[in-house]
Amino acid sequence: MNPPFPDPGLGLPGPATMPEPGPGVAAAPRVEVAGLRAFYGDVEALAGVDLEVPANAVTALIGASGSGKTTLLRCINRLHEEVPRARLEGRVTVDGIDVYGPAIELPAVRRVVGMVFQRPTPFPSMSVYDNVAVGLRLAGARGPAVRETVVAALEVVGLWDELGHRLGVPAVSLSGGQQQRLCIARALAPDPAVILMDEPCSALDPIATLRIERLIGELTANHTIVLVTHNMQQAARVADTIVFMMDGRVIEHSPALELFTRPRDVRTERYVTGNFG
Amino acid sequence: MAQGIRQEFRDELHQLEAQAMGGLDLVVTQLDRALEAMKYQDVELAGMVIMDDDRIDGRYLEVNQGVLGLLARQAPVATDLRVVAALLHIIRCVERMGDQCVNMAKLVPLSGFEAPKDKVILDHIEKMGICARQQVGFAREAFQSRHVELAQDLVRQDAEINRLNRAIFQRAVAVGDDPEVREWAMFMVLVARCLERVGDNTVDIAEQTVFVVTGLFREFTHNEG
Repeated sequence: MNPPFPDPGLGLPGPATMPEPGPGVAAAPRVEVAGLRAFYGDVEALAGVDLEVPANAVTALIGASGSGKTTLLRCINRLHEEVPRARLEGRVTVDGIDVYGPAIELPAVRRVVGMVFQRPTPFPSMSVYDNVAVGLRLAGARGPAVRETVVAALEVVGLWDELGHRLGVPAVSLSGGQQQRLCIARALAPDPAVILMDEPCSALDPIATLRIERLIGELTANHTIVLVTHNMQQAARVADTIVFMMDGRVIEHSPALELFTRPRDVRTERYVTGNFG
Repeated sequence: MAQGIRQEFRDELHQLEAQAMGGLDLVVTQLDRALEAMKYQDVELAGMVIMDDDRIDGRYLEVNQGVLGLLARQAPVATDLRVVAALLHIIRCVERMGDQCVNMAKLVPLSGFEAPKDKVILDHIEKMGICARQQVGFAREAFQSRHVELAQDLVRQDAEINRLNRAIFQRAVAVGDDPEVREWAMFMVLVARCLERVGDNTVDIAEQTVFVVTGLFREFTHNEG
């Protein structure tokens, strides 16, 4: 079990082969990508990516627009396949389990690999409480376990102290920063082992951004984070390792400090110093 | 992404580097004048050296504040970050070398207008001065051209200054019974110490050169020379 979340009692009939966070299971799996090629129609967005994402750490993906960062992220939780004419080749595993394996069902993948998007995407017609609870209910959870999980998730993202007395207000009435933290709470509720974040702070002010960054650091105690960001200072602040991508390939994967002080590849050097031709 | 997208930053960084290198030129001028004042017992010239240290201190402040501004506004990374960090270190060395010139200049009136002199010590001081001056020039050239071998060779050159420093000390100990000569020799030991410190600062700059090029900081040892 990944504390502090109580067991939501999902009772999903998901494939037994998908790693379920629970007693005796590693706190957070490592994601491995091997020979991954992704296409949008005839356009190759990923041209053979090999990557190992360390457990309980923040891995930031950086690179110019169109370098394949978001596509890679969307391949990890199988969002890529929902784009018309999109396809992929290669292998993505979470704790050694192929998320594209024939026995693996999509809901099980999404439960283990959560996602937070660029802009806050709360369900506009739902309250704060229901936004966090909806995923649990869809997964079959009922009773006190739902409330316990919602409260725990809101506490982790720092919203319980701010909104605990008015969980019934519409989610859209919150500030942008609160909405994004609400979305993170929603992603946390099913207790995913991996959380994918696609520029989660790009629409936020500096204070809200710092809160999210601090939260990201705290989440690594129980989760593995993959973060796409265009903000290199943010990558330097929050990431343990950084992956520089270009033209659908991983150019360099290094510890954050090393990449920003002594990059190994001249293309990384050019990109991070803004001297890219 | 277009080439030179951070052109303004790059211009500022080049400007800061030029200012720091210009600081080394100021040190060479001060060193020349301090040594000349010492050689000819020119108290007026020594006074100018002391006064002109304000220029080096001013240069230190300019570069120091420029570096802080660059860090705050531009968040340099990779090689740029190493250059910025090195400039902060180098301008500190410049300021310290300037102080050593002032220390030498302050010794000129103390060592007497018609001081008794020992030719061996005087020759050694002159040689140390030439070495120190050359090393400042080489340190500047090595950093500006990012020349690792030239930077590493400064350790070898600095060994000569250290040798002369020890020789002056030994000569001063054995210079004779005349109290005036011994007092003068003690002042020369202090001058030698100043020049030895200038040499050490050029080695520090050489270490920064290697750091900028390789990304690895390693303190040079005299065994490498």
